[in-house]
Amino acid sequence: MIKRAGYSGALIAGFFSVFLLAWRGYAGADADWVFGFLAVFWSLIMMLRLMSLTEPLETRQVSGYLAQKIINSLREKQESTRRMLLEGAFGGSFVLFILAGISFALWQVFCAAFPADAPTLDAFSSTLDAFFGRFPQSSIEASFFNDPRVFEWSQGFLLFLSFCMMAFVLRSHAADSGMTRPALLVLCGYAASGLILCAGLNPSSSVTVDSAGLLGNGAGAMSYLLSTLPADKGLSFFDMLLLESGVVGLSILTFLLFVPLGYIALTAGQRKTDPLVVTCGFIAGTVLIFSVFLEFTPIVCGVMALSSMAVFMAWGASEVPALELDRKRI
Amino acid sequence: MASKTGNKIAFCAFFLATFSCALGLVFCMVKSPQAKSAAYMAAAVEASSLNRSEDAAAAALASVRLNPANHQNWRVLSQMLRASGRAEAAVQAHKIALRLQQGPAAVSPVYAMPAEFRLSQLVEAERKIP
Repeated sequence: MIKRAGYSGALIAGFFSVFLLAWRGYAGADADWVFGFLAVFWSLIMMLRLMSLTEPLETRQVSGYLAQKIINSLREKQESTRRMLLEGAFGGSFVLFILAGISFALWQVFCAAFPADAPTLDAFSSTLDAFFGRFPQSSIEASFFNDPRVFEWSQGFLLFLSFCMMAFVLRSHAADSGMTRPALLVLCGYAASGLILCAGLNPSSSVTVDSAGLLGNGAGAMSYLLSTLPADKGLSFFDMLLLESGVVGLSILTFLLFVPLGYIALTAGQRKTDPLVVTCGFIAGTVLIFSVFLEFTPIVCGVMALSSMAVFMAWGASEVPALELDRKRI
Repeated sequence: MASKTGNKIAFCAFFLATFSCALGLVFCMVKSPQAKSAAYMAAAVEASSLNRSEDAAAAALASVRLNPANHQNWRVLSQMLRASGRAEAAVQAHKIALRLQQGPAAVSPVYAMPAEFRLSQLVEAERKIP
């Protein structure tokens, strides 16, 4: 019962995060706290899950040698199952996922430190500098977090941390096939419906390439890249990544998605995973890939987060059987 | 051996959760430059209504420094500077406001605009005005 409650709680937390992320898109700067809140929220859920996986099991004393031996044997088995679950959820390909995420963060820092197309800003910067030069610089405005670039990067990093923790919690729960199958079906249904909604409605254009300007974030090929995009096109997540992080950042993020999908494919090839899990994993992965190319709006952001949940769950369900767990005892 | 590996993994997982929790708590309290800019602008309007024109101009200036892409802030700054007797700076601020207003900033929704894009609108505004 408690196990089911934990599973349901993790799913509800995931849905709540999806709505919060989408709402944040509409609220803008008034909802700066959302990324911090999500990190705290998921860290608490992760700690609860870790406590349930690491707290010592109580040894029940019974009369009779055989009965005690059976109980001890069951306890040892439960201990080893929990250990394997912890190692499976936080180890294996998850390490690769975290390393790819950290590489992307480092690349973003590099891009922020050495912006490739910074000279293109000079035209207007000189006008602003001339204006601000009239007045003395205030120490309040020179604070570290007052740099929009630093703030955006920090929020992106927090979001990555939240997704890592979400991935751990969902992966550790995914061994319960009785709950994972219906949960995956629901998640895939919502994700696919969201994609159809977003692609079919074709909302009015938000940010165009014209408005995006030419500020490369160290990618070094912005002028070339922009010339390949139509001027009146609304920017997708893919376009924004390309403009901000260039091909290198895009490649790292593609690898980040490849880790779970590749693992699902690998285990499917070895016929170790439930076909339903594989199918749902790939439907969610496909929705995620399609969403990346749609115009970036809060609803698309929500669909992407929802698809990520389904991918994490299918990833966990694919990786845990490889550890040959006794599913009935988890 | 297996137990030691499990302990190490549990330690790493707890570390990740604690680190994220601490970082998240910090970021729950930190405001973005855009939000700070809006707060400074509110302070400027408040000071202006109390006839403290120097304070109002200083707050409006802090606001545009934090979010220079917002043409409305520049417009308010121009008024505040004029009220505090700095006519030349007020004219320059008004020109910048006009340039930004003719750019795409006014029509772009907030959600699809990372900070770099907001800043890059300044370049676009510069290009469109000969």
